[in-house]
Amino acid sequence: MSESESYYQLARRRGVTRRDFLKFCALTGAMLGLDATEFPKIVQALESKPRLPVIYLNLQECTCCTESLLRSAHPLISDLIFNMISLDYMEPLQAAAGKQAEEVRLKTMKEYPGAYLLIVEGSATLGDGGVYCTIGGKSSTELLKEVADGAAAVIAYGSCATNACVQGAYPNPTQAVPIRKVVKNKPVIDVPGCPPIAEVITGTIVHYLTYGKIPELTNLGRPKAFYQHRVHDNCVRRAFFDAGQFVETFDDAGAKQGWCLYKIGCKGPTTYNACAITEWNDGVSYPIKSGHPCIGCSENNYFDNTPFYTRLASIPNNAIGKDADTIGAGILGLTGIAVAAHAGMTAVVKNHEKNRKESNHDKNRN
Amino acid sequence: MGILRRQVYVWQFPIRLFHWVNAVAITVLFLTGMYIGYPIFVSPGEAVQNFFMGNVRYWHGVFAYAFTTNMLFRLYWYWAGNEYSKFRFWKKDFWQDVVATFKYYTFLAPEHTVKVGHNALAQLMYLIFIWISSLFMIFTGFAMRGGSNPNGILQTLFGWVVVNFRGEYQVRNLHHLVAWGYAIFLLSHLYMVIRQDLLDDDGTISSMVNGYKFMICKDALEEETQERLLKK
Repeated sequence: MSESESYYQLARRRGVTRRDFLKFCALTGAMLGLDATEFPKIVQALESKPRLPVIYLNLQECTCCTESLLRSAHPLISDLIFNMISLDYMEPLQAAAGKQAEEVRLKTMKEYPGAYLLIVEGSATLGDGGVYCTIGGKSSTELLKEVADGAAAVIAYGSCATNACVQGAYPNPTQAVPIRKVVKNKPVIDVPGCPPIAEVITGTIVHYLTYGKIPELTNLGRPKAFYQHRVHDNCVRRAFFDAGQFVETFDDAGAKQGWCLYKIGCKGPTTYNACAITEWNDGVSYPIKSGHPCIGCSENNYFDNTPFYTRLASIPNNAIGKDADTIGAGILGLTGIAVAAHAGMTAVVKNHEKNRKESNHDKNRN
Repeated sequence: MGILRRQVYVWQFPIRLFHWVNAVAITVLFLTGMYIGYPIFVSPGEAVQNFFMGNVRYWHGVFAYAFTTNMLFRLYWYWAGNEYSKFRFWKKDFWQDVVATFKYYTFLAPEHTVKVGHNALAQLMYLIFIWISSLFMIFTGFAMRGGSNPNGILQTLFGWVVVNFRGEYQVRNLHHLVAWGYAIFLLSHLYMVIRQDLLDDDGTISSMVNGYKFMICKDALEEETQERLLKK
């Protein structure tokens, strides 16, 4: 493959017809939620641009994001890594290991300075000099800084990378931090989720490919195309919420009817993600549709907003260990007792004063 | 023992209107909010026949706007209203009165300072329970409403609130927690008002309806005391 070969040339060389190529462009545009007028831009970009070199780092994580990515259907992961990008370094997928692998990474960094895309899965770790996650003898944080320095943009992929996820939950022993806290000199796109939907990450990459710039972000730094809506606002069970029909336990009649899971801890109303629209595994389903409440995995600190199966989490972040209603009603009760005590005290004091005044009065009379 | 009292016009009509709109709005917002937080009723039949939660959320929104407008109006009335509608916490007297009133309520002092309007401690409580918590409730509330329409005006104005709490879940949790402050305030407020009305017989409760309080005439009191002393 010559370095200047465009996506279109590559596709033609591989025997893809122009008609199929255009179909692919249209499908990608639809996946990104773009207007039909944007379609020629996608075609033009894929016809003229060379394949984008991508380095994919796996830091402090569980690889569930990789697993999700491999199940991308639109575009297929094989399409993405063989036809659209040049995935130069990704530990779970590459055949090379050890020194050879690291050499490939260094080669890409040297040949495409400021032009490659860095995707990071997992959090950086600051505790004890970053010893809790080392790759090739380097701490993950050092490695991240080194690779990010030459990148065009950084995609923080998964909740570990965007909010430190499980390992960042209280008390956070390894001092895991989001990528944003370490990479300050490059644009960072947060793609949260545990894991994120495959189409969301591939869609973000294709957006970057198409326009050569990062997509429009929400105020929390996530691609607006996927993270601007609440799961709740597009939920298949939303009608039951509005009607006021709620599942009380997992095995009650309401659960069989497919009622709203709000009361058994669904975090859909505060979770911004594309689950209800894009759905999972090529649009088969998503947790709420399958009968399980949303745990809000794409929201910051979601592991601290526990317990998962009650409506209200303990406040604040489990520090007191009581939820808002328990605390509020408790203080209200104490106030009630205080009011009663104060009223009693007032009665005693005033009565005493009155008696004293009367006795004074009597004395005066005498 | 007759005590001479003079009639003082304390609460102007806009203040009384504010008070009752505020009272109704807070009551409705608290009740609807608690239902939204923990829906205790289950609608019968099919979902298509019901819109109970939807209606509750709708009215929560309507009263939220009424409440906010009312608060803004009150802010204006600090400037436009009479002496009793003002709040001067930067003055030394204010803090002296806070201490004196605190002593009175803890039975350390037998009599309270005579204030025609609010005493300083009451004003301080209004600052905390009505102003500061309402500011918090209005901002967090609109921030959550804004989320439904990501490109709408509410999201543009209040979207930054969610970022400061790192996520909407905490925003909602704290919105729910602070709501209890109003219930606590209401209980204490009612107790204090009834107590004041009973002990001083000055028409505190009715003053929020007709605007008048009945203050003891100092001169008359002195005359009476002198009279008594003379008799002795």
